Amino acid sequence: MAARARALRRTKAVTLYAFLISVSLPIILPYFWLVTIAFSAKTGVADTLVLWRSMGVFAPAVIAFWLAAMLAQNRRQLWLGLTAIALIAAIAFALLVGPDLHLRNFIFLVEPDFASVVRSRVGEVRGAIQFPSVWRAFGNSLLIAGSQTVIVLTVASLAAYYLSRFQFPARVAMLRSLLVLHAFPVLTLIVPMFLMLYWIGLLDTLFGVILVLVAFELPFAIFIMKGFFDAVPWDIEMSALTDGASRRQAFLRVVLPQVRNGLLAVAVFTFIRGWEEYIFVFTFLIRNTNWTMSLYMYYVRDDVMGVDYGVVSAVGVFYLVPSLILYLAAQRYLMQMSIGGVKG
Amino acid sequence: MDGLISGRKFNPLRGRIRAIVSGIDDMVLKLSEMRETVMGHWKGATVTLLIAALAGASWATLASRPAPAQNIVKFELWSRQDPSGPLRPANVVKAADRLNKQLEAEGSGKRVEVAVHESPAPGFDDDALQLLKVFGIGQAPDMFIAAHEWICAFQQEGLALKLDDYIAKYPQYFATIFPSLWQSVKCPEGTYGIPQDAEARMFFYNKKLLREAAYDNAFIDAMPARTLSGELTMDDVIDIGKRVISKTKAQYGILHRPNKGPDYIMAFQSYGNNFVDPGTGKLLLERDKLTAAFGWFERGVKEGVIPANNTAMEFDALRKAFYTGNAVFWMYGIWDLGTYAFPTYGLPKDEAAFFADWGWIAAPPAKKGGQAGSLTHPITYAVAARVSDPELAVRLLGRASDADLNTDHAVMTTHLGIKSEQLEDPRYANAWPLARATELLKITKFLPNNAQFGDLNAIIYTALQGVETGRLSGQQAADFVIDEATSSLKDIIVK
Amino acid sequence: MAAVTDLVVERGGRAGSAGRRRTNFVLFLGPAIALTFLFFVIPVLIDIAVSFTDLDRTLRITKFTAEQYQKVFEGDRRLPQVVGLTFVYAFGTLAVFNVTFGLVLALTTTSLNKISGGFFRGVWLLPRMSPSVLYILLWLWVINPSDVGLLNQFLTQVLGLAKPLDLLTGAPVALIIIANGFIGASLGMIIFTAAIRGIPEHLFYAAAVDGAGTLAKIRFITLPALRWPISFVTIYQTLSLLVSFEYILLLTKGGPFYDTTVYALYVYRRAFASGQYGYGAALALFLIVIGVAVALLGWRFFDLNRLLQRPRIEVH
Repeated sequence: MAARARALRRTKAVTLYAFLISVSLPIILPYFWLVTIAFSAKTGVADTLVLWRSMGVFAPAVIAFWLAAMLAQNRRQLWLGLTAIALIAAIAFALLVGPDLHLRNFIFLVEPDFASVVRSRVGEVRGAIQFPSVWRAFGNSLLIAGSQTVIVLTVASLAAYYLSRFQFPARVAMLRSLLVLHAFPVLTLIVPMFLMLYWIGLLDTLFGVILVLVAFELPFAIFIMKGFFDAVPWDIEMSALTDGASRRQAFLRVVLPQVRNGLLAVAVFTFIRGWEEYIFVFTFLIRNTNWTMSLYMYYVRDDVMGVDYGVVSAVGVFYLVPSLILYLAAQRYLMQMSIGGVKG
Repeated sequence: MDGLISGRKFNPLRGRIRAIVSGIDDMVLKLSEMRETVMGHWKGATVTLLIAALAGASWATLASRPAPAQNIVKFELWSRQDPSGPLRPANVVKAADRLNKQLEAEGSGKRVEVAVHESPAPGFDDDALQLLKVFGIGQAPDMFIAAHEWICAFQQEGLALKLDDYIAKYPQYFATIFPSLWQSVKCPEGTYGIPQDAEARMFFYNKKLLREAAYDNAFIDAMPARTLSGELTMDDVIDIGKRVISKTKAQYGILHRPNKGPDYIMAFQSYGNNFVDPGTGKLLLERDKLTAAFGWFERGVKEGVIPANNTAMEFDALRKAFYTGNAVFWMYGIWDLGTYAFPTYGLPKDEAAFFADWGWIAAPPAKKGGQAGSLTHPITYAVAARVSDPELAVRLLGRASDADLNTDHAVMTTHLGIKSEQLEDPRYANAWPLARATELLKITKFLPNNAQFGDLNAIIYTALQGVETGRLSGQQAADFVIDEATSSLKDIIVK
Repeated sequence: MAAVTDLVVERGGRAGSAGRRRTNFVLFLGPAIALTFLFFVIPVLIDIAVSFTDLDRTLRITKFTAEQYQKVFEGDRRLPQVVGLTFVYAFGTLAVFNVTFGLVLALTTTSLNKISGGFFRGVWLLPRMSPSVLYILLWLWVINPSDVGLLNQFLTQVLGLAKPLDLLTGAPVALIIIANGFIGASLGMIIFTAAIRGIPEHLFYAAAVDGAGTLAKIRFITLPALRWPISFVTIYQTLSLLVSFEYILLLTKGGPFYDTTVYALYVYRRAFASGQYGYGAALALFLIVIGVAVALLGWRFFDLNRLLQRPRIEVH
């Protein structure tokens, strides 16, 4: 009876894993390909052999890890098994894939005119697009995402605190309109936004893009922060106030540290949003004097892809890494965000 | 909780201000003490320095010649990043040097500096749209490089400078430019551009594949002549493509560009679409002729000769397909030889070797006995209307049109020159593609110089994509073009 | 927790309580109100105004006219197709991916142990966390019509298909639904996972004791608990799908022809590609109205009481 239950559980687990692996494969493979090609491709060739070879090393390694985790009877066996598998996988990787690895595709980091270099390898006259240095695009993206994050955090925490803690006549109306704005389709406003920025004179400036991004992230940020502020108990503040603090001091010294998680979560999401921003940058930056990473990635793909997949993936990896790092750091906070009345 | 928060912490504001003020006081005191000591030591040094400076200044003024007041005029040139024309902006930069030397010889104090702004637009149409937006937001360049059919769009909005007077004033730069080229830069009100180059567009074809498909050499070699005489028609081209695909490993029959541009308009012109009413200069759309032209593309796709996703393929993929022998016909232009065919794909540079395996025909007529055609798409230099020094700008562009600079561009990327004296340059004479392509100039047409033609071309291209992907029939495509044009453009004549 | 009495303190001082109240209001809420007004309210007004002009590429208004609305209702042959496509796309993505697949993912990943579940959830969050340009780049590589594309490699070498597929031309609508679906599924997955985690464990044990199988547990315990999140995701994502076009623009540019031009992308194409800003504004207005209507509809699903929790300290 117990054996049958165990077998049933095992089949259930295996089916679940099989299902999840098969649906996740279309996501895992392209990213894996991106990374592999970035470190191994040569000019003019879209080489997938390296991809399959490295998959051939990783897939058995992962399966072996799982098997070890399931079959190991105590901790020591588990660690021994894992280390052994890791060693074998590393050696196999070095033998099969190692020789193909190189860093030449990261030429764009040091050579702004890499498009010409790449095209000259296939005998062409020169690159179509003269790219600026990738570090300028990187810096601009950092500037946009960073300023947007700072401004959103400041404005949103101030507003959310006030909405959470103070009573004033328009409070209910404001909260209701916040709900509407939170769900407002911001992309529909792109046409009047374009005209408004043009009439203000902020079209084609980074500051205009930053302001637009800030305004569009704001309702979401206020919403989330208010949820966090609502969760802070009244007692702390009450004590501070009875001790003679002013409301602003209470906010800064006592309440704000309590919502650190919320601030981090909002900061990370806002930054990632600003980092990947493409539509507004594409529409509002007209003279292409200010490049951002998203534009850089777009034009690199447009120009160089037919000739050199390697460089395109290298740029892709370079573009992806900051997002990934932030996402990994923020994963914990994802589950803690409360959305409306549903607490996670 | 109460114990943690003492009362003192929360009355800091006044105390803090006091602390800051006293801190500043201390700093000021220390600074003044320092000043006293410093002054003592350095008083002598300061005096010596002052005397030295005065001496130096007077020596400099006495020693140097009085230089003429230099007036540096800065021009910004807007150019598109185009691998088939890197010398277009580069020639202007070189011309700036030459002009500066000339200005110095004239004794003028003006000097010219050129800053090139390169736009990453994928084609001349996208670039023109981008540039119009840039003008619209008030950040216009001083001069720009544009495709000729867009010049009148700039002129209509008052953005381009009228050049007739300047052209008449400087015959040394402009008098020897081919008269026919000036037609491509004239708008009803006058001349608004300086032709920068010309080229010829045609159907390249792969003779190897034709031989593999069991066509005999006589037929293959006679194709250009038969096209010119009107015997080889557009439908014949489809038939040839079909036969080659069925008999060889080639995948494609006829390929054309995957974005907006002039080439496919050749096919439309073969079917009688000139898009302009000669009397009024307004855009003219003739439904039956449009239907016939779209019908050719429709037939091509149905027979499997034109790939349904031609408009979605990448330029690199298309060129690779043709030059590596995977396609029979490539509807494009002569400059592709110098820009890609010779350097990248290693097509033979020797004339005889080239024509052994490759060749080109003019755009065939629609019916037997009709007129073959070709398309020339001159790129032009233009000057912004609000430029600070119009005459200097025109002189600069005039120097950029020097015969030798233009020949550099022509020879490097296989374009046709603009002046008759270029034909005597040995480099030009040695570039046999130019000579052979010049023959097509006899039957070539230009795109209409109508301010709205660029927009019409975009509509035509969208309809073309619809026909090729099977969303529209030829008739529906013609209706689509007429509907869109009449609703979004002005003054369209529909027949 | 001890009952907390309301704290009302009148503080003296230079400004007095009323003054401080006003300063606090301006300090805390001022920036947010200013930005919101400037970037939400004013653009809507501008949109209404511009839709009654003939603003075009020259960015100059020459006359006020209702011809844009005339075009919307009478002259535009593309519009019905665009509207139809938008509904198909929005509800297709929603039904197949955002809600259903998100639910499936949440259920399956929570049935595994924490690490594996977290790993798969992480994988499915990857598309959402990648920059859009990069995500679409990967898609373009996968569906590349030549033999280089990953999908075609898989189909021709593993499944033995004769000719490589061209999804961009052959099945563009399915393509945009799947591409957006991967992104949409992740949001549903997060929200449903959070909700599932919130279900008390003892309910499952009790059900197991009563002899309920997995499916029964899902039907009678999990799904009822997810009723609120499912409706939230549906409403929220409907709106976002009706309005977003970033991925579609990057992937297909609205093509081939107008096949994947959803309404929002149609507005963008008209305004920025053809330069018809007035017409684009008129079209956008309909979208704004629908957006506001759906957002108002979403009110009813929010726990307004908790949101409007009365503040209990009146101190300034």
